[in-house]
Amino acid sequence: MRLASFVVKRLVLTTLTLLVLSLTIFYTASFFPAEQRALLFVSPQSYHHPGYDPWSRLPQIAAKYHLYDAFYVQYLNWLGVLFTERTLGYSYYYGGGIVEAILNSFPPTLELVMYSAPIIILGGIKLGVYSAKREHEKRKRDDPADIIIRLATTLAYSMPIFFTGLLMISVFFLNLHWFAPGRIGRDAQMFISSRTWRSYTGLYTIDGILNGQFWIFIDALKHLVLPVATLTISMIPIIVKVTRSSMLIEFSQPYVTMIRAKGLREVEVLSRVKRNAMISILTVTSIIFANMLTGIVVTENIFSLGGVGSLAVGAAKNYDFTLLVGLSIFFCLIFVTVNLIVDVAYTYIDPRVKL
Amino acid sequence: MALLAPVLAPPQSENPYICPYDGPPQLTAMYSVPPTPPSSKHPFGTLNGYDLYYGCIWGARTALYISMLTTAIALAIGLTIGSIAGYFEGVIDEVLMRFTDAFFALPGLFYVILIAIAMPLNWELKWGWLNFSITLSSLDRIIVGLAVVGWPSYARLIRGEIKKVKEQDFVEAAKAVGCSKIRVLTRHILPNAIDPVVSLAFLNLGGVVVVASTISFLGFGPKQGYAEWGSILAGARSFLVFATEDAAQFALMLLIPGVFLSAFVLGWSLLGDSLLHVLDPSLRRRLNF
Repeated sequence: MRLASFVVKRLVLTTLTLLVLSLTIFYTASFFPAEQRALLFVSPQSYHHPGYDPWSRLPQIAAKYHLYDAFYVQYLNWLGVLFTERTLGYSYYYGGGIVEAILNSFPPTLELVMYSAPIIILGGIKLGVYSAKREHEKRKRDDPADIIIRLATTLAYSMPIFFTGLLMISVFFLNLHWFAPGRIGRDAQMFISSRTWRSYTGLYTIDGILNGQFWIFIDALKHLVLPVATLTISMIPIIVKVTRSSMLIEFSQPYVTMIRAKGLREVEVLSRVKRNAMISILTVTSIIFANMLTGIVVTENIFSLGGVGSLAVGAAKNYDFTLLVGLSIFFCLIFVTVNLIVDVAYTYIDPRVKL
Repeated sequence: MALLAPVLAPPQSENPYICPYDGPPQLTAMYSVPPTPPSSKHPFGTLNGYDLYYGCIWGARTALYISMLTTAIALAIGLTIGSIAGYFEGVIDEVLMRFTDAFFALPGLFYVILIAIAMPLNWELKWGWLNFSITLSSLDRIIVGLAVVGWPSYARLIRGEIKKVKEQDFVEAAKAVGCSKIRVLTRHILPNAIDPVVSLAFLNLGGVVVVASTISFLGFGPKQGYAEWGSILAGARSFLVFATEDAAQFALMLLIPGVFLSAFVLGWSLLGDSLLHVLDPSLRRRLNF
């Protein structure tokens, strides 16, 4: 009951948040000239319609949809369109609806996240716990394994993700020829465009298995190695750092001495400390999520994976503001949802937290 | 590392911007030309006709400009909103913090890109008799975007600190003496609450530059030839395809700006880390670093 009321309260707040955000994003987008923004209301089908010239009619369309009016009128108008026609408008860069564009370019992003997130989260926590354990158990001088982990994470932390990605590409693709950029090889691409291929999820690794084509699975996996490695290298330091520092703080708490005195084995002590340290990892979820978003955009761009990140960059390069606004709002939505889940997860991990 | 940081950090963060002040003269624009290896005239070689050495050195100045200005603007907004929210409780606090939370959820990179392409470069301000125009560079647009995205973390932190300081006795004393609300806030509370915000700002200085250079790497920053590490790396990327012929030379043009950028970030994060230790060791826990 309490959880339900909490969720409802949060949902109301979330709606408010989304309203403020869409206002901000819309205000930024309203810097564009009105004629360009009129494209929001032009369906891409009409570009090819004989005898209809949308370009010359843009000022009329802009006037019709009040795009020359004051900013708040436009915003209310846009909200009205959003709710009455349930559309975010059309994108001339993608050549279709915004929602369609986002959904169609989502599988590569999902594939990238699906393979890298477990490595980043589980690996990061593992490394952080290991490093903190060695630091805690050290006698006089610093433990070499701990030093190596800390040095590596500090270095990786200060390397921007696009630099890591470029290094990866120049070493493993251009010099060693082990892996290639792109989502899939040429042969596999031809097979996928053929009629025998059936798309189930849009994820090539899963579809490959479902279609019984194991070589496509291998090929797609091979193309994912570099992006996943790049994303992992640049994302893992934050988790390792946070895990390590919060583990060390927990180790210095009095209750650790207490449970040791009770005679618990070291493994049991560690598991208790770990559980308490997890709480502070949850608090940085939003930072990690924001970094992940940047990472995905850059990784997709460098390795030409063609996901949501590539879509965003392409849209921005073509000044397609409708798509950018749609994408921003889409990611706001995801971000807010993640935050909501994290807040609920707090109560499960830490029973002291009251909703 | 924590002990060594004060020794390590100052030289690493100050080297990049001591050099540029007597850097070589302005570089000359050329059309797309293949990169050349290092020579006596161009110590790091050239990229796209531009001297890489000059770009790297002056890139440090650009990076510093970005980080300082962004952090200053973000701090100004964040401190104002956060301290008002922290000092005046109730409805004002609630409204301002919801506002802050909303900005916290803004997808940073997308929003900065949106600002970087959408914001007009020329601003004409007319307030009655006050009438002047500002011309922004494409870099300034990124700075504005980064500041808009960056202020909520400062606002949140200062609000928490002020709420803590406000309960202490000396604030009560200041009020009893008859200080106005603004004086109490700016003269008595803020100086006692600002330390953690300052160290957070120092920690963020490097990260700000990373985001800015990411954006110019993606192609929304200053044009090719501008001394900005991100756009230099973007230029290096477009020549990377030829790297099979002479790997070492191309590796250099990729590595040098990248190492500069990494060293900059490393320097600031070490400085921020050590500052955190000096100012308030318990803060480490609250900031989760």
